[in-house]
Amino acid sequence: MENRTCPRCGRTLTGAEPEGLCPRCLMEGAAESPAAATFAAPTPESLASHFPGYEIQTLLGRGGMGAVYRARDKKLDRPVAIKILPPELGADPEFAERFLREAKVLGRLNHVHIVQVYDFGEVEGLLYIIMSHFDGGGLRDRLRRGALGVDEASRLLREVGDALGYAHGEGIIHRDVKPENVLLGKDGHVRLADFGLVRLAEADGLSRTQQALGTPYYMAPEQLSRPGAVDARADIYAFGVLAYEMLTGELPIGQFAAASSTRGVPESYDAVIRRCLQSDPESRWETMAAVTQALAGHPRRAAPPPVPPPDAESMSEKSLRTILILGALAFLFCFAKWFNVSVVGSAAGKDVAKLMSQFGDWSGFAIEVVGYRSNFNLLIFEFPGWFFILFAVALVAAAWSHRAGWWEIPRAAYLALAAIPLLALLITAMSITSTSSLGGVVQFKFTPLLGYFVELGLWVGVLIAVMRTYSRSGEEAPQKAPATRAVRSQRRAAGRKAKKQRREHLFDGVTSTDHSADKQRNSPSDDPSPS
Amino acid sequence: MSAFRTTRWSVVLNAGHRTPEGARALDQLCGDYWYPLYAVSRRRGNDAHAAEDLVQGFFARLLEREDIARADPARGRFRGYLRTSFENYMRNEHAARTAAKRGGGRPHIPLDAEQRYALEPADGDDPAALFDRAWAHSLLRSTLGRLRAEYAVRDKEGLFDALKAGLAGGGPPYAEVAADLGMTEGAVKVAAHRLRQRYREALRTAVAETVESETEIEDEIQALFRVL
Repeated sequence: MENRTCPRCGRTLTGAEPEGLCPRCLMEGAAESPAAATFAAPTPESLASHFPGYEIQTLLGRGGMGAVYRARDKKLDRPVAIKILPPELGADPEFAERFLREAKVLGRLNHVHIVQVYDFGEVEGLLYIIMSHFDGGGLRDRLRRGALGVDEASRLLREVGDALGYAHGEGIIHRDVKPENVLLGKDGHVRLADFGLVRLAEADGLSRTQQALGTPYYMAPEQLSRPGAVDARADIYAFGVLAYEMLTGELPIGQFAAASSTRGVPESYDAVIRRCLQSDPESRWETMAAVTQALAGHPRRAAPPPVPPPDAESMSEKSLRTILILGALAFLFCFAKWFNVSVVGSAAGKDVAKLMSQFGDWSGFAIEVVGYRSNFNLLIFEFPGWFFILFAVALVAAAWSHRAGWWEIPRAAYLALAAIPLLALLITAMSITSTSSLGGVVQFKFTPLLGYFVELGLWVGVLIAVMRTYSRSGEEAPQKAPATRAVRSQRRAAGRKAKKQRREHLFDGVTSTDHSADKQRNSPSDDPSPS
Repeated sequence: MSAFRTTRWSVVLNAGHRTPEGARALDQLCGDYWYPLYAVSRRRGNDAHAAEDLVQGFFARLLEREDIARADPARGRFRGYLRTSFENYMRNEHAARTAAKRGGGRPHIPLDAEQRYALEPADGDDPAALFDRAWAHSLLRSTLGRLRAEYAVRDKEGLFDALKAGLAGGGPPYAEVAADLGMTEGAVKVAAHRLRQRYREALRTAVAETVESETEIEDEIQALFRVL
């Protein structure tokens, strides 16, 4: 084979090259900027005739969508950047028309962190955009040296987020947010470049795959699967990738570590980034502003609640379980009372021994209760059904309020309803002390010690809980009296579980444990049936 | 799309070449990059026969023994690993002499190795640079070969030949190609674009097989670009 030279780079070819093509140019063609492969950027000199109003200085770089030159606007004497799109794109009249239409929209973008479009057009089949130029490099260059510091990354991300948020507000989606398109000025601020250009190319049906080949990591899944339906949330996805990369120096690919595993990155960032990176757009943040605010540590209340810190989560689960158990216990207890009095008590005049043989150990209760039914009866036993309905409502209200998170009103209702069993208990407890003198219908033949202790324990717990509630905050004090059931639960939680559990978690934390809440919802209606 | 696709090299590194998939991946890799080792071996003063034996022996040993397991704990790319361990291997004359007698998995020997080597610049660069350059050539060669095969399957080899120069930024004007192939200029333009896309995809995929993670693809391409 005779020696030839590469028509593009001029190197001598020996004939050993693959397919006889210049390997150097081939390799370059596969490099990240897709069009660089085939788009031989015109020299600045050759462009001069196209742009008489500008002094074209140097080629700054070639990218996926053309070449960028530094130039000087002769009239205004200011530096500009001129971007030339690959001529093959300009040769397509449809694309050219779309480009001019889109560029007009881009020209409207005016934001401190967005590269300003000064002019655009077509000259001799060459599509161009003239933009503001400033000294600095791309974020990509910076990232080659590793992750940014958290402070710097946060600041730059805020700027990028602001720019994107602004553009979204103007109805423009970037669609190609990546470090290459985030210019980092010497002034330390970022400018976002290449807004919406990808969409142009996508519409042309040309560069969708091309883009996917170049930098797929920043593309939201839906950009590949259904590019027509892409909205601002695609940018939010890319922003999440960018944020992760800036903070960690890595791309969030596969089973990636939490950003906070990089030194200095706050854990609060993890949830924010994770939500940006959801593959379902519906699960992502809805707006750029929400992302930046969350990153800044001020998540908006209106936004769906971020995942609570793991500590509170586990605690709330325990709390809810405690409440459930206590609720069930209290329910059983009261049911037993009711059962004894209304079923057993009605037979009070009959033979106690017969009762005992019929009801076994329960008769201890029966005798006890019947013994002072004159007191207890007044409050509860005239309305057993009413009592149970209230109880069930209270439980449902409690469950619902925990679940909904918006618990102030239902909790108040719950506390009020919970007062019923408290009063019942109160009277019962008082009765205990006076039982012996009461006599009642049935003579005591047994000492229902167990029943006494259970009641006594509950009552002491209630007292302690009420006192704690009282002493904890004035705000809760008015609810003290009706706080019985809640408080009884809390007493158990506080006393049995761990003293370190602070009271508010009993209520605050339960929001996330849907499953348990569901169970609690069901329990009031399920439980009475065994009777 | 964001899911990380396992590369052959990472399969070898993670699974170990003792596992079936690890061995298969390594075998494929060795087949693709046989020539760079051959070129280095020749450059080190071995004749064609000895060089072939060396490379075969080296691969046989690589596939048979625990060399991979003893690979640099810092890991790194397949290219670097292969070159270093081959250089080490060559220093052991005895191993080189006996290698050819060993059995075990052996990659297919490219027939044109010596012809290719004859075309390498006789003077100049050191074996390491030669290796890297040969490596890049092998990469491009296998990629283009794959592309050609793809086009051939669709009876479009002529189109491939007409447009392949465009992959390196050259080639005849589209109008000329269009006239030759009886296509419209627009259709040629689109075809050229598709070929470039497909080429990029294929080459990046091939590179991906030799690096540990996809994030290194671009770096590797840049590195190879520099040695060319």
